[in-house]
Amino acid sequence: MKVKWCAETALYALMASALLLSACGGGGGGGGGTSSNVSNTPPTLQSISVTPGNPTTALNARIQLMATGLYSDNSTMDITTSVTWGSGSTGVATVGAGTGLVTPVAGATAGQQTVITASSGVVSGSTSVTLSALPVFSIANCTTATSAGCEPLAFQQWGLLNTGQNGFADTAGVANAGGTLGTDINANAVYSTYGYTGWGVTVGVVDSGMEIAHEDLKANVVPGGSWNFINNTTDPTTTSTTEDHGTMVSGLIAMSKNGIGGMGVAPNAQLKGFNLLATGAWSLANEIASLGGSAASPNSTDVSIFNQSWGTTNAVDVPVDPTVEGQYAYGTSTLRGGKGALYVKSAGNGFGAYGVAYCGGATTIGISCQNANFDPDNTLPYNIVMGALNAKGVKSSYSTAGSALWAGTPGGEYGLNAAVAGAGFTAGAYDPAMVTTDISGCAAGFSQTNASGPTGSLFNQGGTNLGGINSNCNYTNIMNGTSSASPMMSGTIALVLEANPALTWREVKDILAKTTIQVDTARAGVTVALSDGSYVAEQPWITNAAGYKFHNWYGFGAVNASAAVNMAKSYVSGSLGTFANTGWIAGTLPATTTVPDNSVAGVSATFTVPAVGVSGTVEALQVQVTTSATGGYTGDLGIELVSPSGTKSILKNIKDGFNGNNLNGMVLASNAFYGENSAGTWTIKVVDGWAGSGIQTLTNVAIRVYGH
Amino acid sequence: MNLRLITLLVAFLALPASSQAADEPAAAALAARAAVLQTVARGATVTSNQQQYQVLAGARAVESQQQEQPQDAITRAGGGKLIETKGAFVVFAAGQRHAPVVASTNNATTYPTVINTRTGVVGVLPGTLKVKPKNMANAQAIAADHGLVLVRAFAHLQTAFYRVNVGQDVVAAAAALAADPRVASAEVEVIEHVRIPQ
Repeated sequence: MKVKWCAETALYALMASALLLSACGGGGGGGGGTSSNVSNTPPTLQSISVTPGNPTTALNARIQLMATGLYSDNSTMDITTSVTWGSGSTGVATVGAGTGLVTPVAGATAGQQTVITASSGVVSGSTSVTLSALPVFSIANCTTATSAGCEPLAFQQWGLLNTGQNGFADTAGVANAGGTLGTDINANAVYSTYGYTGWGVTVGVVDSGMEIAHEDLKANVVPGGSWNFINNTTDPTTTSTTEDHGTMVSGLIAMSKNGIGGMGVAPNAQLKGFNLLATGAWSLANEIASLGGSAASPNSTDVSIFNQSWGTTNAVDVPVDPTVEGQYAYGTSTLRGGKGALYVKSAGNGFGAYGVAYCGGATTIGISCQNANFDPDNTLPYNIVMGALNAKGVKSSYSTAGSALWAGTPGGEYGLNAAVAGAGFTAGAYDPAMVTTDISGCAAGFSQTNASGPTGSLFNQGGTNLGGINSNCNYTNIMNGTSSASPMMSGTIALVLEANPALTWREVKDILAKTTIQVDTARAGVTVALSDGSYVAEQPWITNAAGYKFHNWYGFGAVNASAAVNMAKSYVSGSLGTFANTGWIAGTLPATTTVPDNSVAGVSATFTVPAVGVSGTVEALQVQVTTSATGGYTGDLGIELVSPSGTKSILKNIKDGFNGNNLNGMVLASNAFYGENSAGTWTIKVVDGWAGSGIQTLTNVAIRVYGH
Repeated sequence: MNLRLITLLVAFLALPASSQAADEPAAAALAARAAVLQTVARGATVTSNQQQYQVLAGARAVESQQQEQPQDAITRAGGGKLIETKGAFVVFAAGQRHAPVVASTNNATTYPTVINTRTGVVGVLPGTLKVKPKNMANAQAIAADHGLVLVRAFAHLQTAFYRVNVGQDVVAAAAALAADPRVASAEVEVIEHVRIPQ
């Protein structure tokens, strides 16, 4: 029986090794499973008790169980890690092998029970776990770092609830009166009404890395679920000492509600980190593997939302890679049990400057130098392209505009303190940025005490600044960019999917389009004088024929998490029908295709488009433009599209940052026609909005409409 | 994000009032880059993702190490003149013609480079190939027969990625694969526009 004893109570043997000198063949090479120097028969396991007895836990809260063995010598021992755990109802809750950690299953309901059993051989014990309703909470009372029931940094997280705080910067934002102004994502009503926190939703952070052991992330990190493409391990923690973009992004999505640090939009969402953007990690194969194309090393197929806070800074047109497009199509049609994963992507930070592009012309007239359409992945209907809003509820100064945008979420400005960064920046530099997780410790990251390290703010300097609120330098207050806007959207979608897991990816997009808030309503268009008249280089807000408001700076507007969740709860799945597209339809060019220089006349071509799908309702749209040139300069070109209903969308602005000689089938997308009927004649117009720089000739155009 | 953006902000503040006469990108750095590129020997033509490229036989790329300056990376790779950086890659004029192979020494691994013949954008050939086998079951065998390493296979995309070995001509490998009756298409992978956090 000694062999059996060894198998059942190996842990006991380890613990009791002071008495059992060479148990189970270890030690002096004896073998045979004897314990030669011990005369007593080892105690045998008599019973197991599982505690706490018959506990209750919330639908979104794990509970740790403990297994205690009672032995024949009346001794007891914690055998939690050595017993075999099982759940009687795995649709209610699961229990971790070797851990005893019970996790309620998404979709379970309050009042459901499951019997959790711990067994060792023929001996077992059990307890019944009952699920209780989601706890609601409010961050409205989080007014200081020590407010009861609040995360210490929540009182400065204006993106969740804007009360006019400054995010540890010098200047304050604008309070979101009643959740109607779009100066935050209006998340508090979701927490206080429903208690949704992203439970059961996995977000893949495809980025530079993720510090999976960070104190405010680790509870939400899927064990073994992340991937490091550099060393092929499941730990994508960066080795950089300057910053980890992915860790900052992750915090905005899912900083835990654990009484330390801050709180993500979805503080119970699960995180997987894929360090695709780490130095040396990117390849097309790794990108596909990160976006749901791989079931092992990494497994990205169980991700519900992919956060892509990245982009390209090309100043010439780049074709869509068909392999990447294929992966997005696969992910939206296959993942989440066929309901489709959500792909959230940053528009870019190139409104004023980007890459090597020349932005003087754009800056002069007040349009975006970079267009969201310049990144080919942004033109795909599968991506939800995000612009950034600041704490005053208008476009962040850097946020790239364009008709490919879907919506805007907080990304903030720069979060600086003049006392630290100096006083020479524009006023917006001292406006709030985002408070989020940073590389842990004061020797790395944005927050650090190294004299040569980046700081920019009192908060980032750690130490005793601001009452020592960031003394461990584990957080930063200067994260910004559409890099921040995307995770705010990813977190919002996690709340929506918790509210209604049956929603398809298109239904989520539909809800977001319908529930956004129109911001910056008085924003005027940009009109430029060309040689023969005035040209509208950027439009003000438009209202399309289906009633949707749209602006190239904001897409459909500022995200309203509360309204989105409310709509999600009553949304009737299937109402959008089957996703269809028209295929590429060639346009009809006029007799003269030379684009007049510096003229409002331009060249117009038409498309005859049938009804897409069954109803003809537009969900997304792309056009493809090819030009030839004699000494041409594509920064001159403005491209606009008018629907059969008369809605106009500007797909590319004149005087932007492009500097190529011609366009070679460049794809441009617009969401401005959402909900309209596709059937009829569409008109594309190409103008040359700058004198000189050669002559462009429009040689080919095509259109492809997606919808149902 | 961030301090990088702060740098951009500084650049923004420094911009002079623009005039129509200044509507072309005429940065000195771009001109210098163009001048160096003109001296670089050209090689074979390759096609990838509907774009046509010409091998820059006289230019190589090396990946910079963490916080390493571009010129230090070039020195580590044997020396040359900086053309541009592309993400972690430092593209440099190497002074002599090189076959389109991935080369490795104790100090550095260097990669072939190309130029987009339409746009003038420089790209790096990291030594991987995107291949569509007619039958995905043959993906491993095809790699082995061509002396390549199968990196990843995505059956749902009917696509496999192969990697050449050090010293193996990546352009020739693509051509050989394309001629293989078991292969529907094969092309070199070009890193032309780098994904960056934003």
